[in-house]
Amino acid sequence: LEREKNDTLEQEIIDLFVQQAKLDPSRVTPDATFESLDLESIDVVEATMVLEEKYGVYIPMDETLSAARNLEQFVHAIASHIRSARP
Amino acid sequence: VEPRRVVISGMGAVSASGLGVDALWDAARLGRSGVGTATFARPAGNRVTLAAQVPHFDPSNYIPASLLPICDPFAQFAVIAAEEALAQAGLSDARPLGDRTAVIIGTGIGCGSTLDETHYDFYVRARRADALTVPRVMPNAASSLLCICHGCGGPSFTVSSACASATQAIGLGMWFIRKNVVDRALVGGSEASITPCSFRAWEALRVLTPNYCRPFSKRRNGMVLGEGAAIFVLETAETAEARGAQPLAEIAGYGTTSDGKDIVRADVSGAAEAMRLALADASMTPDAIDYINAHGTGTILNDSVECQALHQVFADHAPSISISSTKPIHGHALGAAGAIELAITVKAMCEQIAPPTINWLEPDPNCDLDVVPNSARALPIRAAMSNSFAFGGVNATLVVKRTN
Repeated sequence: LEREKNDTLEQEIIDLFVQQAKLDPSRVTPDATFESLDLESIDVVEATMVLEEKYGVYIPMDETLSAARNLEQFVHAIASHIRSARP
Repeated sequence: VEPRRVVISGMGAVSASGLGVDALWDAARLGRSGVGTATFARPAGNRVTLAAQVPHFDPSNYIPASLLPICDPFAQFAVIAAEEALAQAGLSDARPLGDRTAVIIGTGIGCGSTLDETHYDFYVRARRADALTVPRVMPNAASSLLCICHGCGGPSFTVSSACASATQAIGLGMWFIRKNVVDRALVGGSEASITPCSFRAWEALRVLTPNYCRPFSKRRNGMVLGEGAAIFVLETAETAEARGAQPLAEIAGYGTTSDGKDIVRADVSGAAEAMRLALADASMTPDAIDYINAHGTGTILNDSVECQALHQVFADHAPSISISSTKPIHGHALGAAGAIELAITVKAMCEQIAPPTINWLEPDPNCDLDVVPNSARALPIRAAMSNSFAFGGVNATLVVKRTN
């Protein structure tokens, strides 16, 4: 059940990201990179801002987030911030 | 003909450590941070709570009553810092400073708090704008007020290049004097833009730390916003000597470049080239530099990019330079940052002490340089460098050296 809940959070993040950055869902695979999705740094910044507002957290650009090289790593980094901010 | 040498004969500062260069330098040297919980006129639920704000003071103790209504805090800081600089230079009673004195002041945002108040009053409270709003909010308010206060008749203008503003203003002033456009210049930077709304905008960029600003350290996660001003009196070495003034340092070189790439992402080659140009402008080789006050914001990207650029420029000499970021002390003062950090750099050279990079935890392989972690060190400093890298891809570097 815990695993499922975690996956749900990750799926929510992906859905929001796809919607915010106006991505073609068919191109959104776990190994997709920001480059392969033609995303500018500011697109990522804006999408992350929407995620922050939805989850009521502040997500600093720390080592985990800045080391994310593909969508899967990025989503994991965001998800772990959201989880650690939850009571 | 020998080029004219340009010296700093006085400097003044306003920072999170209080009024005066001494307060700033003591804090930098002792590693005493001015960062605290941000206070706002109208709290607005900001998620990040830390800032390096100037402690409360009564501006009417420092600013003439006739000028106070047109002085946004950013202009107040500049006026106060300039008084200190002119006093140190022995020019307090020299008014008017005349046609051969330029005033060039950097600011990234300018009158942020006046704009915030004015917009709130107008849109939310349906009040009319104060009659003096326009002269109060113009970005050249600080430079023009310094002209008014001290009777400066030479060129005056504002440099606005985000976090490189002050460094560019100082470099330009030095070039103006060197090229004989003027004989003297009041230069520096001022910033007072910590409002809830601008703070929120910085949160959106995700470059603010929620806990500690720890430049060049493993586990760093961002910067702390600051505010303040530092102003310098620049003049030729000859005029200083003729007056019997005791110069603090010579401004030996200035270099500036533009990346022309990403609006927010720092670039190694642009930063490196600014440092190379500053060294060339100073007719110095890299091994002449003993201390560098880094831009060192504490963000993952800036600090690793800056270290790569330092390696490119200084090569074999890089590991033997003491390099620190004092931003955890005074915060990132944006358009004033380069001036506040140059004041610290000059004090470091005068006192032969490298101030520390505080809050440092452990080495980051991407920042493998001597960053003077956590405590100051005695250091023979013949010449020093101060870096400023700005959003917009603007890079600016100053090189100072000891006089005599």
